[in-house]
Amino acid sequence: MARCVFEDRIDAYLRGELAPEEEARFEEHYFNCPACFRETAERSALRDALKAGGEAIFRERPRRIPAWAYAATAAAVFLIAVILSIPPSPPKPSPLGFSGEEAVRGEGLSVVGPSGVLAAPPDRLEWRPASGAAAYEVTLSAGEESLWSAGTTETSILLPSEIRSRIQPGRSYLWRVRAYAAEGRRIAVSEPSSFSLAR
Amino acid sequence: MPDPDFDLLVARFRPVVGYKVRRALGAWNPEWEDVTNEVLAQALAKIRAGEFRGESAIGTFIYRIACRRIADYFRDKSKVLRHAPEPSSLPGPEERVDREERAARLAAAVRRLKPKYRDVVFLYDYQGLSREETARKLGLTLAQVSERANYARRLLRRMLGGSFFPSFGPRGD
Repeated sequence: MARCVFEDRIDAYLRGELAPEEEARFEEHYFNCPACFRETAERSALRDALKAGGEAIFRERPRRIPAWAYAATAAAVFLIAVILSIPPSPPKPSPLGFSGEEAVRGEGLSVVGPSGVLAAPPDRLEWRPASGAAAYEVTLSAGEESLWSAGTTETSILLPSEIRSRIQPGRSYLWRVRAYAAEGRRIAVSEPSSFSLAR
Repeated sequence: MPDPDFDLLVARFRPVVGYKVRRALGAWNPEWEDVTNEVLAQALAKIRAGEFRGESAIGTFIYRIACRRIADYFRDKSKVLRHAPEPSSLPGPEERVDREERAARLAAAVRRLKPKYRDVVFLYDYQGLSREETARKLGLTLAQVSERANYARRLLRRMLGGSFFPSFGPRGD
């Protein structure tokens, strides 16, 4: 297999470690280089599958294979049962106008960052894993305007450069993350986290 | 009659355009397929209209169209969404079954790796530690981390087979 000088960038690209202009240069490259694209797409699929499978994939003792799936579902069902037994607190007025079904807001799902005043638009949004969560959905908004939402099985997500470029000083941005169990039920919602850019 | 060269072009670029679009829109956003088709249709229309003059590589030409279309998508989307409910972009039941099956296949493959490779996959690819941290934890050099990660991925890919990896084109059929 012929090696391409760009091959060394693949991991950094997938991990979101390239600066925006480097990222664009790498993307332009893989649009022209089938070998790098194939390598990127396959590593990306492998990463996604590893992240989606969770730590059970690395467990030493081979259990019956789908056992992790039952365990995850049982954990999620238990978590929901626990959550449902908590009396709902009175709904707070939400600056984002989210609906009232989110009685579990903030329970077991907290964000890492970014928040506060930033020097530059953030590259990624990050949160702590929620127990029983199989997937997360992230939303980013500015005032009443919803800018972006996306799903992931990881505990952080890259902001696409198209969105990053729209983050301007003088506005406040709110983002939050929702966790879903393997069977698709929403199990937790984070408190909104806000950031703005230094002028 | 479709032009055979255009068919080739679409066949070559659909996966790469699809990958870029999904990465930008979020993998579960069902609109990625429409946006991908629009990028390809725009590219073909521009080529037919003689706008591609070979000043840049064809991949670069299509990449720029994709970037513009994605930027337009986000701009239009934020107008439409202003007061609308959020779209649900959760995976459907089929995708969940698919995900569980894939995880089981992957788990079986990972267990067949020797521990020295599995450790690198766990820390570097799964936990997302930096190369430096992975090297420190395992007592390896940076080059060894890369070598083992690459070797482990090659082994996993061989064990999993091509069907494990999406083509990033349209599904089904």
